[in-house]
Amino acid sequence: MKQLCALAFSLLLSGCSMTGPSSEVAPPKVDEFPQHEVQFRVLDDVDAALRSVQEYLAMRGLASIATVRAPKIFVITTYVDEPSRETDRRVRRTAFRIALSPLPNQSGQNCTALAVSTLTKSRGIKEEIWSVQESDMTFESSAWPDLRKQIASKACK
Amino acid sequence: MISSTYGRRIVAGLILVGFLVAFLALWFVSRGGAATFETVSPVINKLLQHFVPLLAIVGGFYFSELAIEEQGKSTTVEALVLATALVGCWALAPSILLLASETLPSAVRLLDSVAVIGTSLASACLAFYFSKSSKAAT
Repeated sequence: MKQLCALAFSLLLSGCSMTGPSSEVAPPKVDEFPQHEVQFRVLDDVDAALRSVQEYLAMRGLASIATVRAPKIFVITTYVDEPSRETDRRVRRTAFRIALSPLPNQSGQNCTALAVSTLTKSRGIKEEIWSVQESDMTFESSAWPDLRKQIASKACK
Repeated sequence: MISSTYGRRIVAGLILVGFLVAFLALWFVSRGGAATFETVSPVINKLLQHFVPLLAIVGGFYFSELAIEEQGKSTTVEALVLATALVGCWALAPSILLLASETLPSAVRLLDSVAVIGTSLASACLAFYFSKSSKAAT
């Protein structure tokens, strides 16, 4: 009887693990992002720029973590689900990496170099693992125009 | 009683239909980017592992005993029903799982979990039916 219960339980467990694709909640690692970056110069020192970035992300409801790799500070967001139509058979999500590094003081202005890199992953509706496909490399995130606009509004002259 | 040629063709046809429908189902569920080649490739492998032993058994019996079929002997309806039911279930299982499961890997895992029982039963059933029809013919 005990063995039967154990067998039933293991079957139940294996049944549970068979359903539903696994999901990653944690943000990606710094080095997971592609080399391609969009460069900006923002009018602020690094700390203030970092605060602005974090405030903006929090306002958008995006969780992020900051990692220091001197002289750069990386702010990495969690994945944002990209909007998709009901007929789409592939879903996408994007994470952003914002790298901040100090720039030499020019004409009394404190400026910070800000580089944004995006990592888009996709998953077919019949797949379990998120992967980077060729089409994901050229994909533009729906959150990107707003983020770019926000950063551009603080551009360093 | 039922003609052994007819019975053998039904059973062999079931496996062939199952084989073709499974690949059609795989194409259907993975179309439009729903699954990449990296995901589909192990499923193709699994389907071949599923069907090749059955096809090999059927082919072996069928072609080695073509002469017997020409003699027009019969087997019992019960034997045919048993063979058709068991082999039919096993031959159509991959298609049903591919269409009904949430993801392709989960369908493969499910198929894997019953592979030993299913293949043994279906193979034994095929061997039983084909040898029975062979005996009936001699």
